[in-house]
Amino acid sequence: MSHLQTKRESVYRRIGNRILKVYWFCYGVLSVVGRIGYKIIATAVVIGFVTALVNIAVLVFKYGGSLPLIVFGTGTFAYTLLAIYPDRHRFGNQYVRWRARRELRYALKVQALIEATPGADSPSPPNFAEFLLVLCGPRNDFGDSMVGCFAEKFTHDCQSYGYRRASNLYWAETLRSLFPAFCAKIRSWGLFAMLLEYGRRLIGL
Amino acid sequence: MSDQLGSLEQQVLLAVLRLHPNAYGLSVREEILKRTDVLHSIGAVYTTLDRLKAKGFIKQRKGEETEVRRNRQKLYFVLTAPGQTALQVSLRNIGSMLKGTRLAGALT
Repeated sequence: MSHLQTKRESVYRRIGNRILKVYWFCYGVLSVVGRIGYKIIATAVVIGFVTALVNIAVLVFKYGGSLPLIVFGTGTFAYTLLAIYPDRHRFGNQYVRWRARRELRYALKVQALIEATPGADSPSPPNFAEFLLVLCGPRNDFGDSMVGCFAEKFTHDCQSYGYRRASNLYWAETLRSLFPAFCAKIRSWGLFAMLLEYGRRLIGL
Repeated sequence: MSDQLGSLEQQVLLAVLRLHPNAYGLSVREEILKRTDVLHSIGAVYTTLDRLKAKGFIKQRKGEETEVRRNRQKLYFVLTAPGQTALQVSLRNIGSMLKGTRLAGALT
């Protein structure tokens, strides 16, 4: 083996080690963040995948590779992919089916609970948002009617988008409705008078 | 209180007129959205309705309580004669301001 060839191999080894470090870094990030948000880390997945491929290629074709390391690295990476995109893999399909069965069991339990509770089948809007509407909305009949309109919209949203999104929309609409009125009241009454008024309403005077 | 109508007040009065006699807060908002593609908050619509009622341009009648509204009454709004006059005057004013400008056909 010539001196030049040894030097080239050492360069390859260094590159391989660096790529390996990047790969493990990406894997760590995926493991931690992957559970929080799938879409945000899609780019990291691609980087991790490419570096893993290069890493394997370098290890196998240049040095014969360390087999346990390759198997372990590739296995853990595959597991990460499985956790992030479960429905793209054969084993992932089993995972998806298992998860679906678990969610179905949970849904059946919830449904049984709802059926056992009279009047619980109509979802109720977020309590605190409704409280804010009653507290800060108009005092006369308009206030009552306005909260009714919010509830009506919430029911329609529940049917269209599901409870969670309907709740978010309810909160958004509440803040959108109350913030201008809140600012206007601060401007016209002053902060202290406004707090007094809300306190008076809160204790029902 | 001034009898001049603002832009949102005009839209609300026109929506009440269109939906007669079944105009209430949410339907007024949906009507404005359908016709103008502008989504006002429910609070803004109710504030405007409250102001118009104070001016005497609309009157209210109580409606039914439903389960969907969590047993809260609907308030139906109807345009009054002064409201109709104010709306006509306001629209006529806009029309006369537009006359002779490049946007003269915008209201038709």
